[in-house]
Amino acid sequence: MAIDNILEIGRSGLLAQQEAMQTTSNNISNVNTKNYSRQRAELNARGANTNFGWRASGGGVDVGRTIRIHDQFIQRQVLEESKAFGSLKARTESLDRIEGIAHHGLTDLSERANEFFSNFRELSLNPELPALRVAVKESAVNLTDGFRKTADSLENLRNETDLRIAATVDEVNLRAQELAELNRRITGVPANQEPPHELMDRRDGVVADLSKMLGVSVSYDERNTMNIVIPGVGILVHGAEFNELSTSRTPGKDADHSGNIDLFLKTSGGFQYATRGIPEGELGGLLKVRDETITSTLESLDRVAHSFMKKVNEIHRGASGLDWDSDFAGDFFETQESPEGAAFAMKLNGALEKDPSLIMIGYESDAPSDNRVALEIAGLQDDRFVFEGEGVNKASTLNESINSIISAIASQTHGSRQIFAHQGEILDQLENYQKSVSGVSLEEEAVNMMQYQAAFNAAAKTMHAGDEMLETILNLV
Amino acid sequence: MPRISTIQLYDRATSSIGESRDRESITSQKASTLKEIVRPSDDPRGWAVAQQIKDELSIQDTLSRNAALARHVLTATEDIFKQATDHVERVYELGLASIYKGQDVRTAALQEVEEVYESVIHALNARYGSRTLLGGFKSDKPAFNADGEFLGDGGSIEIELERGQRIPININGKAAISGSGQSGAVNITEVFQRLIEGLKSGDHELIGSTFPDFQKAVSQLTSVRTEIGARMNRIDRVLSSYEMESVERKEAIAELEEADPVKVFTDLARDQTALKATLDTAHKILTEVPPDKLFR
Repeated sequence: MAIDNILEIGRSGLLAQQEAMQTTSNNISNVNTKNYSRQRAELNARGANTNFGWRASGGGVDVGRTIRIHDQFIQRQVLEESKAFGSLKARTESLDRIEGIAHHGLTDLSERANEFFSNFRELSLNPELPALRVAVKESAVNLTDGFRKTADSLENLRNETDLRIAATVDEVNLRAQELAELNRRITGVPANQEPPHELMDRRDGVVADLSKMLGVSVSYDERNTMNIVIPGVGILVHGAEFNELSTSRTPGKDADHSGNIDLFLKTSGGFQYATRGIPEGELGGLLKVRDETITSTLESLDRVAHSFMKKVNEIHRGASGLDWDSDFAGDFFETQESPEGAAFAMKLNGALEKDPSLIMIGYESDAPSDNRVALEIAGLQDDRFVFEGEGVNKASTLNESINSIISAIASQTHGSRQIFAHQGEILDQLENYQKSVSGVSLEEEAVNMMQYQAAFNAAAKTMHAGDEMLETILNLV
Repeated sequence: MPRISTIQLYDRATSSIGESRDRESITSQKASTLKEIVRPSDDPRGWAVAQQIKDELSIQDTLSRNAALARHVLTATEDIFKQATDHVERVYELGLASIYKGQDVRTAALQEVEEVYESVIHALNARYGSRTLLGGFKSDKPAFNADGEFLGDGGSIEIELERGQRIPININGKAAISGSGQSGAVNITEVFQRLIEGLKSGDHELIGSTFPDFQKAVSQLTSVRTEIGARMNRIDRVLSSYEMESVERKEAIAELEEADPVKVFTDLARDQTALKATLDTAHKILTEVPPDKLFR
């Protein structure tokens, strides 16, 4: 073996330890970087030098490649669980808001309804007192205001949810664009070069965000390109290309109400309807809350308002076979043919509002103490006349119906909160495991640093020894 | 042995502090409101039951108020019949005392009977607020005219005393005074008029014919007063049961909604201690352990 080989081996040691130290240094620098996967320099012994006959000795060390420590299986599990997590997160947060509004709005409505019936009861006791008719009128106006206010708050919440949906769609498009760009850069690296670990980490982070927002399916091709599909809708990202999600507002039922935001995937073949195809992720959660919870709450409120108006009107109209002035038709509330929008449109008959003496209290004319109509209307408080839906036999009183709307939301919120907490724990565990595999440990890196530093120092010493050996030989001359 | 990365230490510290802070915040809210159920979703079933009881309580409050008012109406009505009974008994005595006496005695009796008759008509037209008590639904006019003719109608004014249960709060003047539709009943004002006529004409027979009718009238009025008393008793019973139910319902609401102060404050102390311990632990782990020691 030539002495210069000792120097060469020493040099390879110095370079390898230096490179390993560089990887350690990079790990330490990225200890707090989101989605960063730690790297490890893979050191390979150089092949034996056979220049000196049968005796083979090592040729030093090389850094084979830098490995990205990453568990693809866990990553896939994280993506899967993120879909449900994103959906539950959006759903729980929205339900919390709906519950707040429904609780205050509907509890207040229930109190207004109690006041309405209570005033009719007092009127039934003192039917000849004009002041009590005014009180009944005021409580009826209060009640209609309560219905309108609650319906309006829920409508606003639906619009707010639409805004959140639109903002999330913008975010999805940004992420899809970023992902397509990362795909382009990753596949652009020549095959003989080190894979771009940092870009792959970033891409994993982007797809994790996308999965939380949208719930997507991920696949890879042979060139390590990540393709993203929205199941049931279409391709979002394919290689360096991406399709944009877009929003469009459907027409509202009238001038007072705007329609919902619908989602479309813009592909080369045109616009693909996507609203129903997104059950998961934050978007799925928001759409579910908007199209199921808020809509069904509003429908229930409309049904309650409509049943109530209809029943009061039936009684009031039944007593109106008297001489009416003007165009007063005998209804207590302005007639609504259909339950749709009844809560928002609920209004006391204009003639009664102007002149509360037109409020019917009894069936006989010229009989001021005839309180039978007032009693019947007051008795509605205990009457199970509100049906849960068409063809549903189970009926409830006005207050029971109002309370059941709150209860339904409360149960959904309670359940969603529990499942969300549970899902959060599952995702936490997976992410924790992922961090346990891929995250940087400063202690570990400190030890590595000492290890590489010691090896570096030792390699330098072997070179120093080789140099001295060479000098000894030269001095012989 | 699982590997622990540095970011996990920070994440764990952050999430432990968050969880402890969250628990402490929930308990603080309970302590500050002393409510177990702050939002319906805290306990949907408990909230629904509490709300149902609150609604019942609210209805009961209105019914109680109405019942108390109805009692006043019945008391005023009972006064009418008490006065009428007194008057009937007095004229009966006057008739008895004067039937076989001279014209001068009868004239004096006649004068008093006529005055009593006016008082009776006045009493029968007594009002409660703007309502004539015996006029039925037609309560804005006197129930009887000076001739004792009934001007009202047979309307029965009812109020809801208990949920779905009504009670009449007026007495039908036509039946109670004019005896219409009542077997064995007499028209009290007509009896009065007959006595007046008898006293005027000195017709012993006519005067004498009123005596059994006055006895019937007293019995007729007494039975009406008994009926009023029975209704008042029923109202009193219901009011008293309302009071008891109200206490029970309020207790039930408190049990469902209100937090046990001892438990809440013990929990608060526990959660505050837990939060402090979490913060101390996080501080210790993040500042007093390697890698600082390794990097020295």
